[in-house]
Amino acid sequence: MPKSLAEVEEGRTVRIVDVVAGRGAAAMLYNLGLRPGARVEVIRSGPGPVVVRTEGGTFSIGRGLAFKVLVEEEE
Amino acid sequence: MRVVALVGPPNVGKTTIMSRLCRTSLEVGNWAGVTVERRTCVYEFRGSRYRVVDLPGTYSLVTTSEDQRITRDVLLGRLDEHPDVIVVVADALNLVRGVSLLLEIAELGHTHLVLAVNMMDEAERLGLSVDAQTLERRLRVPVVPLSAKRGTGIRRLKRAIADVAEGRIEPDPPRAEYPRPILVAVRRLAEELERGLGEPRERARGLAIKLLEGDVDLAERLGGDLSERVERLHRELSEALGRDPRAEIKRARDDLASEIVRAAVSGRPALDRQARLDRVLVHPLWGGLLAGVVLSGVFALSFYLGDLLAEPLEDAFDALGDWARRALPDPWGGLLGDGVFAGVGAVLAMYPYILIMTLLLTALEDTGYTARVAALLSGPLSRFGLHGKSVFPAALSLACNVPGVTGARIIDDPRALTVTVLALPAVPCSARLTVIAYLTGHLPDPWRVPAAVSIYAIALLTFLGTAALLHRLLYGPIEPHAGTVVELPRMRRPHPGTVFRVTWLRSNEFLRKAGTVILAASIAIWALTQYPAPLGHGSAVEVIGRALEPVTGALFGLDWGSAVALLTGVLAKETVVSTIKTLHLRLAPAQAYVLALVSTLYIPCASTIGAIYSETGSARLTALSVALNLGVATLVGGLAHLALSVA
Ligand SMILES: Nc1nc2c(ncn2[C@@H]2O[C@H](COP(=O)(O)OP(=O)(O)O)[C@@H](O)[C@H]2O)c(=O)[nH]1
Ligand SMILES: [Mg+2]
Repeated sequence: MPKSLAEVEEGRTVRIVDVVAGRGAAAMLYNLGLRPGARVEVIRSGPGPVVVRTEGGTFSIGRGLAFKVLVEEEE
Repeated sequence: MRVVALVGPPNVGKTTIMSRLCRTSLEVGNWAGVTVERRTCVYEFRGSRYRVVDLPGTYSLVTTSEDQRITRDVLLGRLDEHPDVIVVVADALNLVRGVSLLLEIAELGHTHLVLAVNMMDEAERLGLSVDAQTLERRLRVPVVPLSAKRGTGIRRLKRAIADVAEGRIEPDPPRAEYPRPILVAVRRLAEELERGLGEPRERARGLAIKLLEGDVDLAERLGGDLSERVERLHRELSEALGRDPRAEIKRARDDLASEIVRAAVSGRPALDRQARLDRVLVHPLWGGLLAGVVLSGVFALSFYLGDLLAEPLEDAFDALGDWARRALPDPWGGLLGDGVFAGVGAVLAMYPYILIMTLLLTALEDTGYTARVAALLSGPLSRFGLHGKSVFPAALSLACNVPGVTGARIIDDPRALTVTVLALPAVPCSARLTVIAYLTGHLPDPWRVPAAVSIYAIALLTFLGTAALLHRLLYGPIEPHAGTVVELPRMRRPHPGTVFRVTWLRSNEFLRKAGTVILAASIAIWALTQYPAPLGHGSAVEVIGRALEPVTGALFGLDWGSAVALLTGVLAKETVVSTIKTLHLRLAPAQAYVLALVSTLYIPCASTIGAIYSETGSARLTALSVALNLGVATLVGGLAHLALSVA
């Protein structure tokens, strides 16, 4: 069951399955390597921006946008 | 001469490498967009000359912001720059991203590539080792590990560049394997581009991939009905794959990059401390409080430390002026004493404030802290029509508005970009810091720093207010959101060499101006105090000032002298200070405060107006920005005058 990136607990690693944002926002996320198939580790969650780490670097994502990034927990 | 282009994501050390290659001093910082301007330098190696071009940082060639477009256009051969060798710079700690970008560039038909793996010092410190030989074997591209900070590996890089430039090594990077439906679509589109636009085969294939990857801007630029064509192919592909083809194309490259990097890199970097730091720094409450403390600290420290250094300087210039007036015959005594030493001296004596504030802000930026503030403010700023990344140009603008305005190009939202550029002149630059520091010196003791800080606070509110107003005027109601994406570079101790160099580069313009524009203006103003009759008997300044006095008097409670100061300040804000000094004006505390406030807000200097015009390309928008500034300055100055005369 996919859930949104904003709902992932701190410290968990998940895989992005879909980005349900507008074209511009999606292009920006893809550009940074935040695209379906990418593995991301959630560094910080809770109120305020979500901070994630990928193979390509560390990013802060606004909460609203993080809700539009659907992810799957890794086994 | 051979041309070498440096390409890579922001903050991987491109500019630092460039300054190592050429032994020249260049601007380097932790900005996501410090390389927006085109920067080049020349070096010699084995008897050949090489020109290095530092391209704007880019994550990929599908661009989302104005500055990245430059890089894409160079690599597509759409600008006049045709590099002989492309050095892809990667951060050893985020190697996959660099390698993926290299594969993407190779796809456009570029094979004259070198991979520079920078930040090896940091990789070693964090327990990561990179096997360059394995990388080289898999990538079939020369790989050079280096540390631009320490200066190691630079010779090897020059050798690799020469080898590729002279054809001794012919790189042959691997290609990502795309799913069949994508391959078919790429081939079809490439054939059309070849036939329709006469693009050479290799590049046509590269362009086709970029188009299918969703580069909307490129499709529009290539013209015809291409946008629709791509759109259709895209829909077909989405159905055939059951997934977003844009993501699939990137994924194929990233997977190949990731596999190659995994074979060459061992050890996992210990980044727990970074994570712990970010949990606090980006926390809305704790991070927000900390940002408030840090920023107030920067301002308070600039003023307290600045005072210590500025006072002896002021005294020294006053003594020089007295000496000139006594020792030299007229008009020379007056010219030097009242014109040059008073006018230029008063401005120069404010340099310590500028130096200290620039130093502190540059150090903060070099640690990576500015990016955390941008992340934190991304949501709140959206309520004013701004972007989280507006923080970077705003911080730059504290030194000078001109690089701030050009630096705004890193903002990847066209509306927020325009709004930022037009509202930026409200941020007090160092010229205005001069005026604030000088005039608040007229205030009784406990009030000086609070008064100065209040002017900065009012300017900040003005920045936000004009931004919101501009957004409403130009684009209608604002849609606030919870923030966008901001990359967080690793936090690190500031590097003293970099910090001092950048501080000097950012503040020496002030000294240059003092010796040219301010000097000329001071002499001119002094001359106007002497002719046709000496000051007090109908000199030209008095005539001009008295004509303006009814207006400035009614609005701000400022007499003819301050009116002249405001008028000359249009040229360069520092002249407000030199005029006051040359005219020997006596200002009451309330007048000094209102004058400082109005001078800070009233009109961008001529160079800033020029920069806004060249960024927006619109006289209407530029005029709007200036008009808003004038309007706000009048309103705020008038209100302050009212409040102070009631109190
Ligand atoms: N530890 C370390 N830091 C570096 C190295 N090269 C550059 N830096 C720092 O990384 C930051 C960004 O460098 P810069 O050259 O501006 O990157 P650019 O955006 O790619 O041009 C600066 O603070 C540099 O001092 C390196 O080899 N090692
Ligand atoms: Mg740079």
